[in-house]
Amino acid sequence: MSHVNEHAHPVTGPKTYGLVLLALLVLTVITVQASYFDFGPWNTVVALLIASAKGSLVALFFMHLRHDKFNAVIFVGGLLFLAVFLIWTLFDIATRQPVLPSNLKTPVQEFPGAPLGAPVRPSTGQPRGTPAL
Amino acid sequence: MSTATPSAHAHAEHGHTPFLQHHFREMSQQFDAARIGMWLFLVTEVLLFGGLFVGYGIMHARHPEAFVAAHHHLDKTLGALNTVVLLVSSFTMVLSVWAAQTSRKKLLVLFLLLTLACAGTFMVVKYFEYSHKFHEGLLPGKYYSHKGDTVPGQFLFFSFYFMMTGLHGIHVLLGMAAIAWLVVRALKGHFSSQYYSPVEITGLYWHLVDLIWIYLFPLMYLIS
Amino acid sequence: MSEGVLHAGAGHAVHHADYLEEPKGLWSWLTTVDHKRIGLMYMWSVLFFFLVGGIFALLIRLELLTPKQTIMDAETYNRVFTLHGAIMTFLVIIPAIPAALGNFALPLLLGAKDVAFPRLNLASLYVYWTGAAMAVATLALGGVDTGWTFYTPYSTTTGGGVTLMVLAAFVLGFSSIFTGVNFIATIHKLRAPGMGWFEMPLFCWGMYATALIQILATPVLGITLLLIVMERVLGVGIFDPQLGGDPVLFQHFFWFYSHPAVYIMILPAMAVISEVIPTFSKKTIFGYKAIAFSSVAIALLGFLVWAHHMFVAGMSLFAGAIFSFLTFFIAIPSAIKVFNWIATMWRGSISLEAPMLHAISFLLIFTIGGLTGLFLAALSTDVHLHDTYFVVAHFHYVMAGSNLIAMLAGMHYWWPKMYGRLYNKKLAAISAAVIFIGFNLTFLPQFVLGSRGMPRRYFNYLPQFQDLHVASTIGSWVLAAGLFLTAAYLLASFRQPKGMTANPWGGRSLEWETSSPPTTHNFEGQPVLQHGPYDYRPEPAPVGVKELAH
Repeated sequence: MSHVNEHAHPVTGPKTYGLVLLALLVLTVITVQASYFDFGPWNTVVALLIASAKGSLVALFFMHLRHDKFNAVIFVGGLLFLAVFLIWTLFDIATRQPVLPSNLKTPVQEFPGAPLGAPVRPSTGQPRGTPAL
Repeated sequence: MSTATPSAHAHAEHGHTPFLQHHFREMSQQFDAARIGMWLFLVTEVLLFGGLFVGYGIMHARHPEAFVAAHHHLDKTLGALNTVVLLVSSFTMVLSVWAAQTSRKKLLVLFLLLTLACAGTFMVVKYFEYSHKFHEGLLPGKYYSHKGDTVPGQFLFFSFYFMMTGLHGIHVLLGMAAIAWLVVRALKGHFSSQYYSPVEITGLYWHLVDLIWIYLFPLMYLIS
Repeated sequence: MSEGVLHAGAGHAVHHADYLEEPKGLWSWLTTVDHKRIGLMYMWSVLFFFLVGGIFALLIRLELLTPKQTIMDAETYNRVFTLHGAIMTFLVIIPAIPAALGNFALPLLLGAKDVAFPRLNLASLYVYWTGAAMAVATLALGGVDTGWTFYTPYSTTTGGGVTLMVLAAFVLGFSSIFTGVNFIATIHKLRAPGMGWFEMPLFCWGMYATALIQILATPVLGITLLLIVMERVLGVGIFDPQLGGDPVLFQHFFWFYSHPAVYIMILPAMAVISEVIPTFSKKTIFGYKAIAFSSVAIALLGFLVWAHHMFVAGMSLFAGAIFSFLTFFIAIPSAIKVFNWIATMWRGSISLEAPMLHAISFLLIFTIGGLTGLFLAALSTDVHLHDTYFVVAHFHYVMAGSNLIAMLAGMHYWWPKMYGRLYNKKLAAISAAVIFIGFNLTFLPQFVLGSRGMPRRYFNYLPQFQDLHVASTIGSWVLAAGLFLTAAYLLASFRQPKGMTANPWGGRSLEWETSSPPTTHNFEGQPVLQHGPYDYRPEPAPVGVKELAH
């Protein structure tokens, strides 16, 4: 190991990285298997939790955040503001009823050209006059 | 396994390595700054992709049947394979950083090339997935032409599928270019324990590309 | 007063070529990595686009002289106000103080030789020029008439150059992000030895807070703009209700950036004021930490309130109530700053040089702008005032009045440092007054217009509004006169030879301890902080630049 290091920066070795890779592969198997179970409304939560476990391993070990509190704060800060974006938007989206066909007194077609109750090829009609670019 | 000897000029007392930029007092300061800069850039990437994830999440919640029906067209095996490929590429990337940190030039080049190979594999698998979709008419938005759907609105899912995997794919390609550049510099002997920050910060970028896929895979391929 | 820079132990001043002289030639400027040169190139670019955007503004005001068509038809009018807004927002106000003044001054204030990533700095300038060229090119495609806010579904279905304009804004976003990344790394890593976080000038705190926003908010604008393009080109369906999308979702995406963006605009302005007021009051800043923390607080709070732009968009009442409630809190750190600046002036030795005149204008104009924001923050009053001229007046008071005037203050403050020359002080004072009068004459009537019901972005209007519109238009001519006068005497200053002292204003921050203009490397040797940046005590520690043993 060299003595005049560019930075007094602990060097993690291949063995540790190898163990982390193993854990990541195991978690990948778990996440695929979990998708065959139905946890009801918790499906998304389970998927996100496993993904976050994998993500944490990558961030802590592969991205060296274990030894780097400062940049960990930067990264977590970014995630925090993403969470604000999602949650504050949901303050609106989750508290109003979109005008779905089923909410209306006289049902309308959600996707124009798609007759109700029959197999269809959905229309993706654009309003008239839409230019290509 | 050879240990590269640090080059003479890099080993000088209170060394001004040739890579010390004039406005920094010492290499550690420059290295720290480089890492801060890359992490800040990664935050912008998180928010860029995050916006797409937020849009996807909201549209999924609004049209659950369409999204569930549409995702069955995705091949879970290929998706899982790509996940594994990217995880391995992250592994080889961080090993290349270790090799640079410990002045192991040959291993550095090897691991960088392995990372490139994994990235290339990822793109090849993507190519097959996309070709299949084009063939079936499973295209975004107004180009969706798949026949025989029982649930309307599946084009919405594919809009997001192509936008998110497409943007991710572009980032993979850009990462491959950066890693290729690292190979060139590594072969020239630029990197050692004295100076390896380009390898480290490119590695950080690459791990983020992997991180995004870690979330993309379950949310697109595995929802039920 | 000391001339140039002293070498410790040399016993005499040594003249080195300054950064303007050396290296020579256009190519050396276009390939420079010197933050000072990059800052100047940004400054002139921004001023050029300010001229363009300003001409559009004068055209708007000309059209509004009469209730019916005056000089242009309705379609053209829509394109003119869109381009005015887009140019002013993306090409002028967002980059102006950070990229021009910030790039020039930040390393000097920190005692550094350059920013952390000089090549990234040059890249951000080229990216800016690219985005600007794309924006101008939309004129060739028939212009854009969506308003600078690009609301869907109109923006995703109308013709014209929308896609190109949106992509231009996307490119410009990178310029902003690069600047933000550079400033944060610089402030963390390149402060002079002895300069802790609470010993750096408040301008740096302002740049730091601004950079936080640039990094966190701009990418969301990026994805929003890409989604507009995807809607137009592919019909993806996220914002189109006919396809299962939600147009209000677009507004959430858009304002998540665009509200914090207004703090990208005002925080640098406040940062300049925090430098100017102590210098021209010969008094230390009142409440340094309060101002520093308020800057960061404004940056962070600014992310929580964006949907106050959407109270009448069809958002839920629950969300409206939350966003309204949170919006009020931004007034607190803003007010803390205003009180602290005034307290700094209290019992100070005020000298009414041009930078200080502009700073005082700022205090008055920003107070009005900030207070009128509260009317709009309150949900119930906003229902009446939304999309009226009240909103137009409010944002011009904070964006044009406050930001523009702070930019002028900064330019006048650092002009001797940038160019080694001073402008005509009498003309500068006159134009400061003319600008203040012209600005208020233009925009004060608009508060009244708005509260009486005059809608914004309207090409014609009811006859009872004409008097106030005429007053506003005359104001725009006065404002323009003041600005042209400013341009004239600033350009005339180049006719003098360079010969400025290092510290014409008696400032205490590090930029005043090197020559005017500085050499390429800013300082001879590594400056070590001897005293605080606002230390105006009668017998300060001896100033000088020490060479650290290398």
